Amino acid sequence: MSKKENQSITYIYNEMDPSEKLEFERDLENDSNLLIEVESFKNISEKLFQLKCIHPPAEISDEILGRAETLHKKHSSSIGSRYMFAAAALIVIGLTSGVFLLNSSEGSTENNTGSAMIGSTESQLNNTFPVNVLSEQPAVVSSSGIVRSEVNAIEPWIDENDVIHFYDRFRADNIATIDSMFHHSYQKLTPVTDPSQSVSIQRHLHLTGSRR
Amino acid sequence: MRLINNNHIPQNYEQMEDRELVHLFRKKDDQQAFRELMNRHQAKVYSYIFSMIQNREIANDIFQETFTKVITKMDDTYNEQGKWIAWVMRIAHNATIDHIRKQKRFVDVTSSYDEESKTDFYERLPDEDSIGQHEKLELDESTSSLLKHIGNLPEEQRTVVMLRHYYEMPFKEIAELTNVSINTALGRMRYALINLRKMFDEEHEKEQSNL
Repeated sequence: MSKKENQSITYIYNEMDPSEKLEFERDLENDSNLLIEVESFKNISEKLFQLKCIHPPAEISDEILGRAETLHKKHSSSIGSRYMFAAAALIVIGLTSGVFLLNSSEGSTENNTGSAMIGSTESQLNNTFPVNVLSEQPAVVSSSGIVRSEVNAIEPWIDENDVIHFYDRFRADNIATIDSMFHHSYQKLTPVTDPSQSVSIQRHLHLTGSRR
Repeated sequence: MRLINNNHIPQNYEQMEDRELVHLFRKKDDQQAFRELMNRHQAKVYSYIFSMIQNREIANDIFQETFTKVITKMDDTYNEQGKWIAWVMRIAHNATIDHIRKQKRFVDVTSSYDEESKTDFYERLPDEDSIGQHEKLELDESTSSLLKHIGNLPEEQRTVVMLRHYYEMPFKEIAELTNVSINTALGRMRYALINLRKMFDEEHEKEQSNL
């Protein structure tokens, strides 16, 4: 079937481009056989357009509507439960991996920074300060550098920049002792040789020795 | 014909487009929306099936099968971007063709362009008695006569005629639905019209001779 032969169909069913239509109408004027064919097709087509719709029996339509209520609910609930199951599985996987990641990062943080910080803070302080300086037990530093328990406890606090403060926790009579402790602790500090190594460390312990 | 219980369909449903109704049915399980969709399209879908099958009971079964699939598959396979009725028609068409192929009720009558058989179309037409008898439907004479002639067309020609005339489906869409090129779809329509013209002429001659 050539495209040319089908043109009479596209013409009578109005599916031609305007330019094609003009050209075809010119052909119709010159070709009487084509004109007869198109007219007869039009005639049959008009008869076909008289075809009336046939309606399904009412009970069939009602049955389908009844099925729509039950089947669609059932089907969408099964789809819903499938999605719910998938969502639940996703949440469980997410939570599990989240907890795992959190644990591992906490572990590493504790190992690398947190515990190091706290540990080092405590150990440094413990090293720097004699026993019980940070404890809640009353302590006092003796002339030999030993803290006695009568002295009020120093409770250092760490601000949001991870700077440990204890200058406001000292009693005036302990200042000299604390100063000597600071001096002692400063001697333990070593200069940083490779600053790039500390770049990845997120939390730092800053010892401040300022006094107000 | 509207559905019996359609008096409680709110007027705004009637003003909605198919895609809005489909959305309401899919997302909100709105039965009224589905009822409105049925009201709009059931007669055309049924007419297509019936004209292809020419048997009331089988047409009823295929019609039910079609809409059962529509209800259950709408959430899975229908893409709201496309025309809903084209999707429904595809289901109806596939179900109808499946049935025809299973039953092998129809003798394949290729039109006169078949040069291999070297036979005229009418020589290859089966006896009218061998074609499924028309159901005694309450159809007017002209519709009944038209359907009888359409029923005598080869399946692929009948498909194009029905899709074009009941649905005013463009030939491009018919070609897509039936998995053929647009030229083949147009060719089938052309042969269908040629064959129908012959049938009408013959009928007219018979009427004249009876007078």
